[in-house]
Amino acid sequence: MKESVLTMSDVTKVFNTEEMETHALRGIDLTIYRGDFVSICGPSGCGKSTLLSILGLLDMPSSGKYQIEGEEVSQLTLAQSAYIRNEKIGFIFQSFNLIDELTVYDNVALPLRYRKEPLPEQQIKQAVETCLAKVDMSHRANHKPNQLSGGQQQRIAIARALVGQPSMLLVDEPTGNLDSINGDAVMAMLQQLNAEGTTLCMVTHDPRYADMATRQLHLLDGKIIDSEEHSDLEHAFKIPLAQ
Amino acid sequence: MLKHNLLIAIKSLARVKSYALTIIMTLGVTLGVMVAMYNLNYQIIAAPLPYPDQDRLFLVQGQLLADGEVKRENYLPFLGAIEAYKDQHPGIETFALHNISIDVEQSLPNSPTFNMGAITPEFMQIIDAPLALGRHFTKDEGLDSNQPVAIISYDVWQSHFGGSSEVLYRSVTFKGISFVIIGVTAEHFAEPVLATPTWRTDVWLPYDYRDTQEPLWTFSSNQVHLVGKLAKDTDLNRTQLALNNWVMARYPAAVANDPTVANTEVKWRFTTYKSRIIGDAGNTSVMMLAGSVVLLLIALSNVGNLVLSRAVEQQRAFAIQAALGAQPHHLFKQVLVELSLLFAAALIVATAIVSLILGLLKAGYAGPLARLNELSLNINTVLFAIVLTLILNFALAWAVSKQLNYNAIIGALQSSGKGSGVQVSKRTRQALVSMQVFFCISLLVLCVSIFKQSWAQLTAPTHINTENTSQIALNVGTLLNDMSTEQRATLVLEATERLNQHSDIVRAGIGGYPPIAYWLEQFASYHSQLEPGMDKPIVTHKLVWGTRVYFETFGLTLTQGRHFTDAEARDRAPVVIINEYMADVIKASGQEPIGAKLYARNSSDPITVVGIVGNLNLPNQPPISRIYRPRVNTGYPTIVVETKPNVQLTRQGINDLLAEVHSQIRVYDLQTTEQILSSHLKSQRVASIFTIVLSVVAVILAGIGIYGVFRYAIALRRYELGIRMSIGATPVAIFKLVLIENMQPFLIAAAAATCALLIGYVSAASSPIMQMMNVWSWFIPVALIASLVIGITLLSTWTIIRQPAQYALKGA
Repeated sequence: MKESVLTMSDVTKVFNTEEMETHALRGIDLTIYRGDFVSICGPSGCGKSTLLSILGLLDMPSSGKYQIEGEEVSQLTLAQSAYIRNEKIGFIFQSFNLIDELTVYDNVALPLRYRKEPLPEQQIKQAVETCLAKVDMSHRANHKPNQLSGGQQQRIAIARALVGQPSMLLVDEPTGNLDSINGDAVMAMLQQLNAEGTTLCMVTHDPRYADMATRQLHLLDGKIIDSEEHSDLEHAFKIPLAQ
Repeated sequence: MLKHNLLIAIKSLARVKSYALTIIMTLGVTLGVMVAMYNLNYQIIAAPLPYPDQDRLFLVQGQLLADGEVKRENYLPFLGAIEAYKDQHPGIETFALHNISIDVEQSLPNSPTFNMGAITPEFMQIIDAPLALGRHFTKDEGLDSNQPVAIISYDVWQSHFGGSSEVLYRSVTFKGISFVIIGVTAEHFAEPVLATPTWRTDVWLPYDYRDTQEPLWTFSSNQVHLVGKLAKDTDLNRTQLALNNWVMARYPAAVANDPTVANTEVKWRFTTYKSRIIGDAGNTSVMMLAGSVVLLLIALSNVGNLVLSRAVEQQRAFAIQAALGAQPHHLFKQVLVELSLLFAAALIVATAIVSLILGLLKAGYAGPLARLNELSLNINTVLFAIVLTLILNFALAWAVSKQLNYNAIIGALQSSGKGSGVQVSKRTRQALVSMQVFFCISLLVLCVSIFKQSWAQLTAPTHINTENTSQIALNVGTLLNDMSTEQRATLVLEATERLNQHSDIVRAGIGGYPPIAYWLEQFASYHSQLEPGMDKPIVTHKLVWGTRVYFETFGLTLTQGRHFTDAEARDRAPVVIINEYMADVIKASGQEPIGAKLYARNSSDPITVVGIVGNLNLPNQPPISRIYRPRVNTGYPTIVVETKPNVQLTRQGINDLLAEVHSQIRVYDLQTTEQILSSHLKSQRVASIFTIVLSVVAVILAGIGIYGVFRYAIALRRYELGIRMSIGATPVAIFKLVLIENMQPFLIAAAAATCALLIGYVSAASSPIMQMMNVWSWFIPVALIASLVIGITLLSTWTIIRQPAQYALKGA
């Protein structure tokens, strides 16, 4: 039996401004199992990023239930959600989101420095070196992010996402700021990670990369309109995303 | 082009009203305070006195020395002054005599008390005192002429004679003598302050009518002044030496028959009018100026930060203008015009603040500073304000233009805007915060030091009876000359008894000037010996005369021995009550205080100690030995009364009672002990209020400035903080991270301020302000500003850490 990493049930997200109320997510039901590689597709403004933010506890749902590894997380305090984010979720952003003032090493080490129980420096060093080696960036440990290419920065971001050994990686348009060669390389790396057992949930516009996922979710107007397993891939391409 | 820039600036500022208002008010208030302080300092230190040949005017001050040691300062033998006045001296064009006192006018309604100035004619002539009506005293009205004429002040003319032009040749009556009014001083007449800064003479009389006892070479009083004018092109020091030789030659022969001053000598020195009038007010005013400068610097840091932040907000507008061909100097002009508008508005606010502060200063709210009656907004100050404003305006515009990276501005249109354009560098931001913290801590340390001392003096127990007690100073009018001492004693005892019989009065006792009274401070000190003999040690002490009830009502608490009897007071018995300080002196000599004998210096007549009372702790008076002797004072008596609760004595009511005893006895001064204490504590109260207000304003200004810088820094770091939050940083971790960075400029500035204060302490350890400092006066400001930095850090990060990470990442 598959073990679920996260479960969402009837999750909504409403943004209120002075002028209007925007329903970004409407009744999302979703379960991601350990080892899954889920891609979330959909047109601009359909709620992909909002869904990813809520999945990653960067934002809170307006209503509904959300559990990570069986623990209800929809009503946590900011500090509690920070700890869960730190231990169970790894983020990979489109714009890498590395901190320019820190070296590559310190960027990768950063999640471990925010652990609830402080880790010994030696353990941090070992974990950082392992992750840098995994993305083949050990030789750049003392560089600053702005000394690296886009592809290299994204590999550092992957290393940072992995260093805390999270239950799941949330990936937001990982190739959006990369050329096709670097994009392909990053996707190959993600596929490799998934093959090694890492659970991935990725938002992407690119159907080529969406195809690499084992499950594809299609979002439209804040709702999951379709969910397909890898075997239905041919059908998936026929979904008129523009709608 | 200027018109265009002005229009753009006005429209632009109209869109940011709170920004404009904050700058105008911050600059206006602090600039106004500084300009007012400049005006005060100019008036006190730099402005010429309103007298012709001011550098040639001097006051003679003296010292009494015994065995080469100064025994009394301000010692001017009364008769010596008169003889010096009568004699001719090389280098001195003219001498004048001046004697101040208080007297009761006997012909006007309500018997008002006036400040009196008895003068020789030269006194007003050498200062060319302006008159509203009439004339000065002439030579015919000089010493030994006994001409009953008077010159009244402008205020007396207005308040008691309705400003009538018929006032000349009307009269005022003192001690039964009618003085014909021959002149009225002009409204703008600034009297040279020779006694105390608050003194304003109401009525001037010829010197023959001075209110001081028979002239003696052995009598000196701070009411008596000898002033003069040097001859043209005369050296002051040489003339001073000649006069000193003159007095040193005469003094020994003049006092040869008085053993109490045997082996003493007198030295005279000249003090220019200017240094006498200014006194130590210059130090006070310079301190106030320094405080206002620091306040302005804090405000400028704030304004600098606000203006820089606005430049950042205007980045896109600058970029568009640059893309359309605007050169760096065009952008500079735009910034300059906008700032000029703000500074011009601030200058208007500052002018109002200056007027307000000058009004408060003249009303005495800052204490008795010198030359306050001459204080007005002068052209010099106006020019200073305009020049200062222009300099600050250009300096700030230049500082902002230095932060405008023209190339980055041009690039801003082509980029996404992230990380380019105008930014206030981290170094600039830290420098702004450091400056504010440095100035604020330095100012607060000084304020806390002064406040601590002032507050301690305000709240210190005095050990006198302030509950329902009052002091009634009596004027005995013509009785001083018409009756013997014994007759007057009987009369004033009767007057005291009449008060005692009044239903509102619990008790009343008669004596001399109490240890703290309405009259001038710094009463003379006396010298006694524990053994008779010229070579025996001298004890310096204060002396008060009175009856038992007088001392008990005043609040002296007997700790040992006995009190005086009424008979001892009447007979002026040779007994004395001493305070504990004096008792300690006697004990140190190996004697038991009770029963010990005291001798007036070089006298062999003993007075016996019969009691010991507790020490007093009176404002502006050092801890000193005091002795209390029994006597019914008849010259200038003071009755100390205790009333029933909630009773208010009135001058008219007391005068009516006294009139039943004798028509010449009138109230000189009537005040509750609380009022008297309060007037003596005025400078401490002013210092406390001034330091609190200054501290609060400084902290608020610094707080606003620091918040502006921190908020801007957080805005720049918002995205980075969002990233940190997205990978698990808790709100507390984010707060700590920002706090550590924010504490850096604080620590640098706190260390710099500490070093500056230490240097000040080491180099001027004996200065009064440094004497007031201790660890607490350093620790409290540092802790306060540290808390402020922590609080502002929390406030500035609040918008980030109180929301989910997504908001920081998105900038929502």
